[in-house]
Amino acid sequence: MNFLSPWFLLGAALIAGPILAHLIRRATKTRVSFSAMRFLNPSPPKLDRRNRVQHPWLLLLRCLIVGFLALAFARPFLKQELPSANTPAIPQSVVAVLDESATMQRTGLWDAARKKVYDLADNLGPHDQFALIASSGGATELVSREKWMSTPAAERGTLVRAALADRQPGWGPKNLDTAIEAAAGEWEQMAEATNAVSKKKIVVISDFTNGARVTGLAGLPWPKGSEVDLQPVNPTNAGDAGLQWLGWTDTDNGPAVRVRVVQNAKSTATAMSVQLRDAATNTAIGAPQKLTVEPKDAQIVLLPVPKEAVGKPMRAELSGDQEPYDNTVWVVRPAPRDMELVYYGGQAANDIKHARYYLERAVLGWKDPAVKLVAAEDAAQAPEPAKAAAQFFVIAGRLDQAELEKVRRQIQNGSFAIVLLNDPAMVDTAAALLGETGWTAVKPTEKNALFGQIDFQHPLFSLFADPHYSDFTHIEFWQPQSVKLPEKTAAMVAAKFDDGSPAVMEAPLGKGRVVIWGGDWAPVASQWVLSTKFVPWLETLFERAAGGAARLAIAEIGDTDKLLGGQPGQWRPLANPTAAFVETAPTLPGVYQLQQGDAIRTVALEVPAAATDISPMPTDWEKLGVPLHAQPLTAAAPLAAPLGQDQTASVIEARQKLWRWLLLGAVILLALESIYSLVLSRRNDHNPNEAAT
Amino acid sequence: MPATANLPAQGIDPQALFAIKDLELRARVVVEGLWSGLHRSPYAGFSVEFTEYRQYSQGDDLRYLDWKLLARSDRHYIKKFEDETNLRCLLLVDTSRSMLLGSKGWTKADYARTLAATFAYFLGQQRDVVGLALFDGKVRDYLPPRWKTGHFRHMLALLERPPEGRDTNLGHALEEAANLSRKRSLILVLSDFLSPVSEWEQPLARLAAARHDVRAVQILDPAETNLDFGEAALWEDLESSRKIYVDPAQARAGYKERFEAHQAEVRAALERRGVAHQLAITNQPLDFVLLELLQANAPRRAAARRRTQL
Repeated sequence: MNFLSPWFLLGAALIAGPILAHLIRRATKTRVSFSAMRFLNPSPPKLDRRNRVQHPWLLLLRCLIVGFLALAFARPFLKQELPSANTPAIPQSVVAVLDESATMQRTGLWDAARKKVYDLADNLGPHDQFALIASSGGATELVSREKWMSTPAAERGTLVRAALADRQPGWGPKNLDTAIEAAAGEWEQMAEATNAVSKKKIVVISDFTNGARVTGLAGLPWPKGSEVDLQPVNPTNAGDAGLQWLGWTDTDNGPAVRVRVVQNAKSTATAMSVQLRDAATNTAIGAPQKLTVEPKDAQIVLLPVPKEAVGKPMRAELSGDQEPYDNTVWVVRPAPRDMELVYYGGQAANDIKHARYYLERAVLGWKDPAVKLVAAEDAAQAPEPAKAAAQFFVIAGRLDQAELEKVRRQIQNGSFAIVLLNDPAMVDTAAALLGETGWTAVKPTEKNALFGQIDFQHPLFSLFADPHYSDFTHIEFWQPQSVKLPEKTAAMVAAKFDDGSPAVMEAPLGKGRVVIWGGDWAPVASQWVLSTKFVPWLETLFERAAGGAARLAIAEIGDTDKLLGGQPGQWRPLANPTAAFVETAPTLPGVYQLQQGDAIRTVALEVPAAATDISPMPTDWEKLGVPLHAQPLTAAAPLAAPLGQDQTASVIEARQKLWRWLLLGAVILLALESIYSLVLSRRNDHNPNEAAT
Repeated sequence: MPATANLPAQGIDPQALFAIKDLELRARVVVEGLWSGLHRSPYAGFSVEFTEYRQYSQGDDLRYLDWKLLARSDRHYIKKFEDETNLRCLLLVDTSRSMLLGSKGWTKADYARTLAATFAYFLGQQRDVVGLALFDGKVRDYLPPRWKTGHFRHMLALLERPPEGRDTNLGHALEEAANLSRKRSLILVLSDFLSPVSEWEQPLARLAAARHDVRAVQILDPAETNLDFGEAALWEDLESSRKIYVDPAQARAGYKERFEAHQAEVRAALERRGVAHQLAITNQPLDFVLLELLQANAPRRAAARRRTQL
């Protein structure tokens, strides 16, 4: 038997305590107090009794308790050979997760990580199953179980090397949980394939930086006997500074790019500079900004964009850092969509009794689409704009034939129009605009009409679909005007008055749309323009007219859904305008052209901001329920390195855990001792004379 | 004395008596039992009755005016009687540490206390004035003999106070008692008289010479008389904390011999000084002790009283 902490055996010397107590106790215990001592002569007790140990069995129990405790603290173990990792008794099902996220691009990491994978594969037995999964945003299987098993054992090392030979770390986020979950799914396939009990193991090879996402592992069911082995790799340069995209800032001198320089705690280089460059031509824009960033610090930098460069795709570049992977931020600024609002109706712009006054004030200050007011007379003289959907018509008065034709053409090209039925005769205008016949003006029966039925599925009112906002009962219409639609019409009724007659209709015309509103917007006719719902409703309509809600232009790699906005799109790098658009989302940061429908816009994809944070990951894996391998995370020891003598002893001891049995024995003995001494003391109470002897 | 025939056949069992926690109740139980056994007082004139009428003169306390006589005869007379007594009694109670021995479940100190309380109650019933002095090395607490409301309660409170437990110096205490009671009194010394006779004989002689009626009540534990007690162990003196190994079986014979010698010495010394000796073993019924105490010296008491009246 060997001991891990033999110096605790010195504690066994405490056995002397009970022995002494049992020898001495008799002599010291009983005292008799007496008054007439004057008449007494000493009569010494007989010596033979003093030397006898009192209650030898109790003494034995107490000595054993002390001995067991001392032994347990010394952590004994029986010497035996550690089972070799190369020849496990049961076959292993090993899934390696190789981190390919952006931070793995740091110097030295990728080679070290690949070496770990090679060593792991080389050390597996011929019956062990293996799969290799790469983690970069999602999970990619590099070596499948089937391929591994179908390859002869001798060639499996080559198989893994071939799979990794020309791979490089990507730019995606470090979503380790997705990959580990996929690896756990791989086990199930392995179990199905073999039907044999095997040791399940996931080996995660990563730099485990703070930006890693593992929260998805919480609550994941882990099969019995499975374990996750974390294999960290260490970079050559401990320090790194990164550049993060923050947003646009509008200054008095025009827009400026707002970026943040984040310095790692272990960085040594503190003198930095940030330079704005043209994304296409790589020429410098403006002067470089010099700054000093202390370790574990961050600074926000404003890079003003000169007037001539506004609108161009750019990139901000950080220099002075050793690790280049996170030193570039790609920047595009989508130009605001201009739109002309043309009002037909003839009322004065500053007459508060008419709809025009409210309409023009509602659109003031909108940034996208940026609305420009154009008088109907000017619009008539100006040439028709070539660009589709550049005009929005509000028709509150009768149009002559020429105007009607012009507006109709514009709508067919993609413009939107609203026709306000402020007069029964306007019904004919609306019908003429749509090119339909059979529309008849109808007066609703109620003088004070309300919206009785609203189709919240319709894009006109979907904004108010939430029950918080769907109350239209406080908006009254005092001069409602309705229409009796012919059976065959393109107009869809989006809202009805409370007598069931159509109130708001929408009809497609060519590429554009016409909205017909039953009544006037003037405050004398209804409460609509003064209600809180008017401006949001109008803005939604204008956005539709401009081609949809404003979309993001800059997103992180792996977050391309934010740019797509739920619709399919095709991508093409900006630098290569002759290339074809492809469906697959780009995996490299940069500026791209995104085609959705007919619209093509320029967007930028960034290195994930989390990748600039390379401080060590603080997550307590065990809190997430992950069955960790016994080895500590910080020990970046190679897999096959032989254990030192001390380590071997502690590993054997940790497996045998003999101290537990000794402690249990001590507890049992303690219980016995308590019972025995209780029995003794009861007996003494009954027979005090015996106790005295 | 005919009272002897009236003695209860069996006294109050000390064990039952000491089960009563209240000292006053204990004293009352003993005295009431005694009365019922005696039927009448064995001491005719033990307490003072009506003595005389005296013409009222200015300045006399109106409390003692005989109002009934005044109503009948319109004459002012002062009635002199009960409030004046002819017997002063001082109880000297030993509270030293040696009194803490108790082999029967109660200590000698308990016994002495109860005896003192009983005696005080008994005398109080007869309207005699009783004082109390508690002593160990010297007199610790002193309550002069007095007749007033609450005096008995006060005395009980002093007696019930737990003893501080110091060494005995009976001689010194007796000297102090002699200084404290200038008037001739009945002085009852309740102690174990275990200290050497030479220590206290002289002061006792002085006290007796001052014409006090001194009586010694020697309170002993049964264990002290026969050493039927304890076990072979380290024995510790209650007062001096001297420790020696004693096996009672071996030491008994020698102890008894020396103890008897001491007792003989005590008796002789008390005899020499004309002090009545009353032995009270703590397993004896208390009322017996009280009765014997009263009976044994009745003639002397009567004589003393006569002398006082002369």
